[in-house]
Amino acid sequence: MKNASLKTKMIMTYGLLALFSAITGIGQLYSMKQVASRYIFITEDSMPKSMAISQMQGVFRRARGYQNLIIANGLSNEERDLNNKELRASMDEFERYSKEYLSYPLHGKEKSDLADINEYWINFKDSVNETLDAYSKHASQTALSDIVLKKSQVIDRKFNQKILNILDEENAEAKGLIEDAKNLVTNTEIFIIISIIFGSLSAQLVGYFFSKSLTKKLDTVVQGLSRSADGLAVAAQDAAKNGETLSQGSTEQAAALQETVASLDEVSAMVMKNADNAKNSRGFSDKSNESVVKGKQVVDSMIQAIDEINSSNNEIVHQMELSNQEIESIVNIISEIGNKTKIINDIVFQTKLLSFNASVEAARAGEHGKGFAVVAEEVGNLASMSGNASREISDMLRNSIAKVEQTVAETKSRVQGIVVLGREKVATGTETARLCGQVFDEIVFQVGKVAVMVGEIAVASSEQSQGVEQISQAMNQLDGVTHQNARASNESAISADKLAGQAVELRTLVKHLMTTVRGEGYDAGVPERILDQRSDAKLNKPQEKHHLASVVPIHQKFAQKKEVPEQSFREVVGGGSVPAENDPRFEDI
Amino acid sequence: MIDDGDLRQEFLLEAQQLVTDTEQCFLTLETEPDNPSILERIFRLAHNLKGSAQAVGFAQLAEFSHKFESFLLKLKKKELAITPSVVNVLLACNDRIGVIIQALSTDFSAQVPIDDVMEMIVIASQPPSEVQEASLEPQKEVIAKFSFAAEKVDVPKAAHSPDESIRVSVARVERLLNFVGELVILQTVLNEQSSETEHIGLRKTVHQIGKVTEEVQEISMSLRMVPLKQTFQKLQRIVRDTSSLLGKKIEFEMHGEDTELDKSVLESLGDPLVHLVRNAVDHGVESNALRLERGKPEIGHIALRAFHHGGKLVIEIEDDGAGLDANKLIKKAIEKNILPPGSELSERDAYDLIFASGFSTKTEVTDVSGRGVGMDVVKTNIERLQGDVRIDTALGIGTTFRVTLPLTLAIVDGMVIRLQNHRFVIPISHVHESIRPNPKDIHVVSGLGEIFDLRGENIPMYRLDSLLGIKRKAIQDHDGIVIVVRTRVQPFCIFVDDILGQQQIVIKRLGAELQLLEGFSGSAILGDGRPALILELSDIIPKSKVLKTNDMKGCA
Amino acid sequence: MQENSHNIRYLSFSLGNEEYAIPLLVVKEVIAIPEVTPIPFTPNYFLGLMNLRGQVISVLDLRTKLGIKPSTSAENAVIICDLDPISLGVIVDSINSVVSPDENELSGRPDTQNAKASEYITNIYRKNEKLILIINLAKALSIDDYKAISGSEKAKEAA
Repeated sequence: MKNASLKTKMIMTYGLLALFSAITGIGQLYSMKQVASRYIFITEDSMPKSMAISQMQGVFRRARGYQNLIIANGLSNEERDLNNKELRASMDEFERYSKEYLSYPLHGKEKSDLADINEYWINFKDSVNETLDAYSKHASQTALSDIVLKKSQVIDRKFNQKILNILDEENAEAKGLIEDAKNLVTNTEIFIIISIIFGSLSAQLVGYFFSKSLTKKLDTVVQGLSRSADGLAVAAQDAAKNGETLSQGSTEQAAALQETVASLDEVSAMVMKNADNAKNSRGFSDKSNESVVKGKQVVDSMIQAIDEINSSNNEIVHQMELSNQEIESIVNIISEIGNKTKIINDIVFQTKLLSFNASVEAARAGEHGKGFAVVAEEVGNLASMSGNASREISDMLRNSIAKVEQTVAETKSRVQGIVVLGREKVATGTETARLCGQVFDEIVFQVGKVAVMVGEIAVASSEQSQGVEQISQAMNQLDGVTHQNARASNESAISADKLAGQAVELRTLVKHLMTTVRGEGYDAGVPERILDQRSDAKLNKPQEKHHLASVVPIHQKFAQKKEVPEQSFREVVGGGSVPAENDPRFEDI
Repeated sequence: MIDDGDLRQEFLLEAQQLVTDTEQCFLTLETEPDNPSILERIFRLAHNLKGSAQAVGFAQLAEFSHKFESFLLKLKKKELAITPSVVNVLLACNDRIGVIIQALSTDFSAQVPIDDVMEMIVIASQPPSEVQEASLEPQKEVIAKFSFAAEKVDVPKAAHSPDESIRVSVARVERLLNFVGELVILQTVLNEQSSETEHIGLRKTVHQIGKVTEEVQEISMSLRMVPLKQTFQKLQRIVRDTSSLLGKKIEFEMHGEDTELDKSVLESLGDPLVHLVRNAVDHGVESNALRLERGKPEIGHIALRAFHHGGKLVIEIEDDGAGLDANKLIKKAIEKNILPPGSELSERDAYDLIFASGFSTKTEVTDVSGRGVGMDVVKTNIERLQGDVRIDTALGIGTTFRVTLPLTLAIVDGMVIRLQNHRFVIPISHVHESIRPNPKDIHVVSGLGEIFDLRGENIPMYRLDSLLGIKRKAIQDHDGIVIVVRTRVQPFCIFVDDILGQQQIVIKRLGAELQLLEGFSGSAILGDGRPALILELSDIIPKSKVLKTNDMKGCA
Repeated sequence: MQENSHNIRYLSFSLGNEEYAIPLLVVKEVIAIPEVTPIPFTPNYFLGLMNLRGQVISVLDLRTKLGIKPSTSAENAVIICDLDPISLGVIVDSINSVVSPDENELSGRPDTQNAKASEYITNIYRKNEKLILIINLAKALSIDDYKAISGSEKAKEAA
């Protein structure tokens, strides 16, 4: 929805409003119709019925009057006939009204009520006929009045009662309908009022929303336009300014050109000197290159010597390790001897036990065993002695192992210390020599580079002189260009003026649009600014013209001086080959 | 009187030796008839025999020896020339003496016909001048007769090459057995070690040495074997003495008295057998009057039989007495508080009640038996010998006690069990079964300890470590083994860590310093040369839970 | 068996720092420490059973019995003693020598308060400033006192 176009939005909103009005209109129409139907019912049904009933009542009352007159005394026959005639007429009239009533659609109790009325009517008619009959038969006054008064009165009361009932009912019905219609009217009124309020409010809201968004959008457009106009004015002003600057620049350019020509002389001299120096440098660099190569050779042989030292150092370590291994094997042998000594100890123990056992046996043998006992004891002594000896051996072995191990450990640590120190020293030497060689390598490389560069300088110098000539030529061309520049700036000033005019026009247009959009008296600051700028541009215009006028003489001056730098340039180069204009090297230098 | 028998036995052994010696001399005499020293020697031997035979009361042998001696005297006096025929006669005489001795050694009252040989002597004694021709004939006849007679008297083959024997002290045999045991152990070690060697010759030799070792072991074991005869004769005497004391006429019959048995077993067997025989005479056989009343032969009959059966020795003591009444036994047991009232037992279990401590069916105490001690000791003693005693009885017909014993006590089949790092041996005869338990079958009942549910049977279970007071980390129930023992009336079982194997073990008695140590019947040296104790399981379980049995030391 | 009664020979051995001796005739033989199988229900000085060439013999530790702190050395040995009728192995720290003291070198039993010790020490032999206690092994081991074993038996029953 947000993205929908303004048009779509408007169509949709108004469509909604129209739909709403249509719905409310239909609602009102319906209620009006309801009210009308109520009134129509009252006028076309209830009222005629009531009227008919009222008529019937009136006619009946009249007929009753005529009936009563029948029995009245003192009436002439004429009068009596008239009375009878009137009675008949009113009775006919009643019949007519009754028929009329019947012609209306009957509903509810009306039918039964009417039947009752008809019954009462017939009764009345009978009583009238009876009265007439009696009268014609000259019945007594009492009898007549008896009939009229007693019978008819009863009928009359009933009839009246019924008629009143019917009337009441009809009235009540009419009253309800009226009340209904009244309510409907009130409701419709409320409804109409609400729809009016809602319609006007929503229309107001929609209008406000649309006007707001439209104004906002237009405002943006106008502001953009005014900004563009502003920018245009500024641009025009700038263009005017530029034109001025350009003409000024052209003047300055001409002056600079002169100075350049003077500098070029100096440059030529410098270039010459440079070429000489370059030649000398090449000789030196060649010589230094030679000595550097020699230095490098010396360093290489030094590294080789250090490597040899290192390898012999390693050899020493290896030899040391070998001798350590030898010593270790000696230690192993010693501990093996120790193990064997343990076995000897065990044997000595067993021998000792054996000698005791021999002593025991000897003791058992008693006197005979005495000699043997001595032998056994001797064996025991020998065993003890050998036990002691083996214990001593064990101690000695333990000591010697400890000593050997200590010696080995000490020698090892010492030699290792020396070797490690030597290794460190050798490593330092090697590193230094390596660095030295590296430095030499770098020097060789640098010297080579210098030689190349010197050569390049020579080449460059010759090229420089060539370049200077090129510069002179370029100067000439530059003079032409400067002139052209002056003309062009003049032209641009003119077009800037034109641009300012267009900007004013645009501003007017924008202002008009703003008035349309924002209404009268709405005046933004932006257009004023444009106006100011425009006046500035107009003021600048004569100045520009002045600048342009001063450009011309400088231009001429330059044209006169042009010959001199060209000659000196030729001298500098010394008639050496000049590289073509499109030589790629030209650009490089 | 008992010594008399012993003397006779000893005499007979000596006589056997003498006969062998003389025979050798006669043979020499034949080749060197003029050597007077030989004849002198023969004469001395014969004289010795005569004297000894008279001393121990072998009349027939003495008489025959006398005749023989006088015949020899004639030869010595050179009244007769030493001719081959004479030597024949001498040899025949000598053989006959051997026959007599053989017969006597089975029956002291044995009579061997000697008339034929006597006749030979008479003929040979006649001077050679007299009818040489005639002498030849009867001589042949006599030899023929002799052969016939020899068959008739049923001379055992051994009679022709009589057993040579030497008397060796038991201690020496004991020592030999120790060393043989050690040899067997070393042999197993050697077998193990040689199985690793590549040297086929060595392995072969080791195998052969193994065979020899087995043989040596068997022979050394057999050195301890002695015949039952002496014990049986003692029993015979006891039957005679006891029956005369009780005024019962009893016929005693013995079979298989030559059956051999380990000497140590035999020594321990004497007392139980005496008890059983006395019991048979006293309780088993009824008085003569009662027997007649019951329609049995007046003279009672007791038979003692010994025989080998399935590597075991069986001794049966059978009487034709009244038999055992199971119901009466149960009633008695309940009266004596040995059984709880209302107990019901199978017939066999009921018969076993007579082995219960403090049970005696005889109401009055006699000199012979009925003191209420005895039968329980009999059973204990026999079980200590790794043996078993069973009763077969029929009411009114008789009772047989069947004692089954291992042939030797020195070697038993043992089950080596492990408890942590300890090893013990249980005699296999004590093990009824061994099973790996299902932990849910082991129940702890407060006051009773642990109960093992063996297929519905609730058996009290004891852990060997707690029984022996060995502290150790408990193992899972399902890692151990339960050993069921049924040597007592009430079975029980023992929980051990593992069974290491079954092997024949040589029993070593514990030293005197350990005699009071209960629960171990001895020790054995296992395959690795280390000793292990032999468990007497019924001695280490708490006494309160099994039927009490008197200690062996408690009675004579 | 005609022993020179004036010159009885003894086997001397060490228990801890002390030197003891027993009559040589009591000794059957001496051996290195064998493997032993412990025996339940025995006092702590009963080390167990050993196999001496097919004979099963109890091994006792005399040091524990006499309350002497044992020293562990390779010299530990077992003296097989013949204390009729029992053969026992007795562990000692080391066996020293066979000595045959002259009668004047022997002094009688010391009069000490320790009744128990004086019970088994029979003589004291003074040899080059060194004292050798001659003991009665049977008494020292309370051989007649089997109550020690049955006592432990009772302990077991109680447990």
